[in-house]
Amino acid sequence: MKLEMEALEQSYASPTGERRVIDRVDLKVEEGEFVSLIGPSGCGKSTLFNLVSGLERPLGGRIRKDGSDITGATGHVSYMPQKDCLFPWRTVVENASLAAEVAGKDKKKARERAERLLPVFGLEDFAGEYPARLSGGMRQRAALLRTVMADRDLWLLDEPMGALDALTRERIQDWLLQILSRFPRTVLFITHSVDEAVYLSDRVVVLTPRPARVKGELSITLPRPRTREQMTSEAFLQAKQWLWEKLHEDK
Amino acid sequence: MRRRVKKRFRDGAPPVLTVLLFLLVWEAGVRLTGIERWLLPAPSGIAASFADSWELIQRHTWPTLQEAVLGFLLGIGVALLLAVLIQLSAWLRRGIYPLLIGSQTVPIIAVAPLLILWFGYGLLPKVLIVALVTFFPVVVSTVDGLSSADPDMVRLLRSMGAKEWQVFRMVRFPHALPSFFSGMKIAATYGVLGAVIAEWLGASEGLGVFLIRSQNSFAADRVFVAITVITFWSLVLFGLVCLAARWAAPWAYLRKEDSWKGEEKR
Ligand SMILES: Nc1ncnc2c1ncn2[C@@H]1O[C@H](COP(=O)(O)OP(=O)(O)OP(=O)(O)O)[C@@H](O)[C@H]1O
Ligand SMILES: [Mg+2]
Repeated sequence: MKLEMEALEQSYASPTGERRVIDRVDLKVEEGEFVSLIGPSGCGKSTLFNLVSGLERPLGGRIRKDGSDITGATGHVSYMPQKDCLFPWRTVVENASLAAEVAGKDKKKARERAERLLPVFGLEDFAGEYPARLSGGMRQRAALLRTVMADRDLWLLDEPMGALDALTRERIQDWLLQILSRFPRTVLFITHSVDEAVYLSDRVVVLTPRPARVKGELSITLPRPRTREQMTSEAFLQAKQWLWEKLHEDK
Repeated sequence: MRRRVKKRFRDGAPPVLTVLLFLLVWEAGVRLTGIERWLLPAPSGIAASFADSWELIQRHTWPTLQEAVLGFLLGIGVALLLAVLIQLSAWLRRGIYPLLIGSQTVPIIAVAPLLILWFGYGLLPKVLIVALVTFFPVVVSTVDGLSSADPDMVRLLRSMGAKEWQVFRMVRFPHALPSFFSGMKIAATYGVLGAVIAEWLGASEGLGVFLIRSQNSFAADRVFVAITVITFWSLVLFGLVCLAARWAAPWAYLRKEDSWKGEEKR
């Protein structure tokens, strides 16, 4: 099992007392699986990622990766935060090579690799530009590139395409699928788009409003490679329907 | 390019014009009222005196500049060190910060005699006084910059497994650069002034000495010459700091409009 979350719990202090954000979440993710998390805004999705990435220690529960306990330990995942968090003092390429630099790897090689990947993200003309000169969508693509460059076998993507226009969004989605078919990675993916979740995932997990619990999950059995035509297929629409109903259940 | 020249002109013209106008009014006023030269000389008189005392001025400028620059550099060095220490340890922060504030409430005029008692009439006490007046704005603004780094950037770096010193080097330090330089700009305007005041309290050469002597001989025109020189060099120091800031943190001066490469291509 690539990743196991076991009875995860997290709360924060709030003016009205303790606010429970994660409430006994159990989730298992297989090697190479693409799992999307959907749930209402503020339910605790980003918090879940904070726990898995080791940035926060859960109040209760365990996180295991490849069988070993990584609860509260950093450096095991490629994490793309919801905000792009590009460093204003680094050019696009320098931002992309951040993880390599943290790991003390050869800077020059990392930059060359980043430069090779730039065209995929439509950033080839902006290698030496500072983030202040990029548009919102370009910033998000640069952040995605940085995540890819971080090179861990488990990716946590927190709404990586939230700020993209529809066209770029589709392009990056297809690119992501293509990359994953070549270099299998395990992906946990937060999105607010049911379409996107179904199109990309092997499994979609629906979370409850805060505190987050697993409300239900659905395996997406559409064959791979995925194509845009599948989006109008019966199976796709049924999956969407099911997820939509689950999300809006007892409201 | 053309637009840039135009902008330069648009930004530069008003101050130049106001200064010219001011000098003109001054000159006219002095001539019309016939006020005594030792009370208020006309700009033309000051210019003439400038030319007369050119060599004297040069001889007195050099030591002052030396004190100002050395003191400034020392002040910045100490300021950086203190800022990093304060940032790294909450204990030191609580220990040092009140002392820092305290150091600024003690008037320099009161400290200077002590420094002269301890270190004599040479270069050192003056350098120390300049350092004393310049380090404070730099510490305060640098500490501000170091501690206001975006916590989300820090978290991102930590998620990559970064150590604390890497977080410092890759996020806190670059983030603090612009504030560090704003502190330095304030300090730069104090530097020459600090040196001049230090010279008042005991020196054999320097612009401060030149000032006192001019005053003693009722040479108001020379006082104005000294003021002009002090202002000039303060501005030069300030300009150098601005250049250094642009060189060290070019990204802080970017604005999208400046060279917006057009909308996205795809
Ligand atoms: N560090 C914190 N301290 C206190 N409360 C927090 C903290 N982080 C998150 N919360 C609270 O936890 C809840 C869940 O936040 P989280 O960011 O995980 O939501 P989310 O599901 O990612 O929402 P969105 O879809 O809008 O991004 C929110 O109510 C938020 O106020
Ligand atoms: Mg979120």
